[in-house]
Amino acid sequence: MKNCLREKRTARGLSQGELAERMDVSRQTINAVEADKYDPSLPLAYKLAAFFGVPAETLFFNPFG
Amino acid sequence: MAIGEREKRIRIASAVSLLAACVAGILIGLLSGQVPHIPQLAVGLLAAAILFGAFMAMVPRWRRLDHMQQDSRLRSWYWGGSFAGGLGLVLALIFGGARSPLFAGAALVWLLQCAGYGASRLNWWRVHRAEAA
Repeated sequence: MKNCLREKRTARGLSQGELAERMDVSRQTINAVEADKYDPSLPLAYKLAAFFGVPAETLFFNPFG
Repeated sequence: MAIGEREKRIRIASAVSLLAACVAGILIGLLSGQVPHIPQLAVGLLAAAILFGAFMAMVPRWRRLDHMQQDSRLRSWYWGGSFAGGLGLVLALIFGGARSPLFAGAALVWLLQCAGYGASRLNWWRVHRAEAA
């Protein structure tokens, strides 16, 4: 699922590892989500959205509409 | 690259899992060959208890993995494990013959894996099913 996670993360000055620690996931998971290689679970998507203070659909682009 | 707290916890849990598997393997191996005075049923029950303990020691590691890490392991085990298990069965048949102990052992392991898969699937449905609305 395409997203703007990388832009949001770098705007906060966070590395993938730092964001991963805060989300309690692996750095590889953050990398895969950013690169659109893996769709995050719904809880992780909402957790990321809450962390950046944006709605989930702002962070992840709906591929169906 | 520095290792985060989460990664440290996973590595510790992995080491505990590996250690538990090794200890269980050694204990069951000793039980099966070195204790002639204990009834076979008792040996089997003790071995099952040890195996259960080893599995319980692996639970913390599994719970510390995130969704993607669990998904990668489940898919790898399903596809890689199923194919390699089937391949092992075919190779045992070719090189050992249908009536060989090698093929019997391979078939038993494969059948038990299938049975375990079925039981696990049933449990998954039991846990996740909801009443139709």
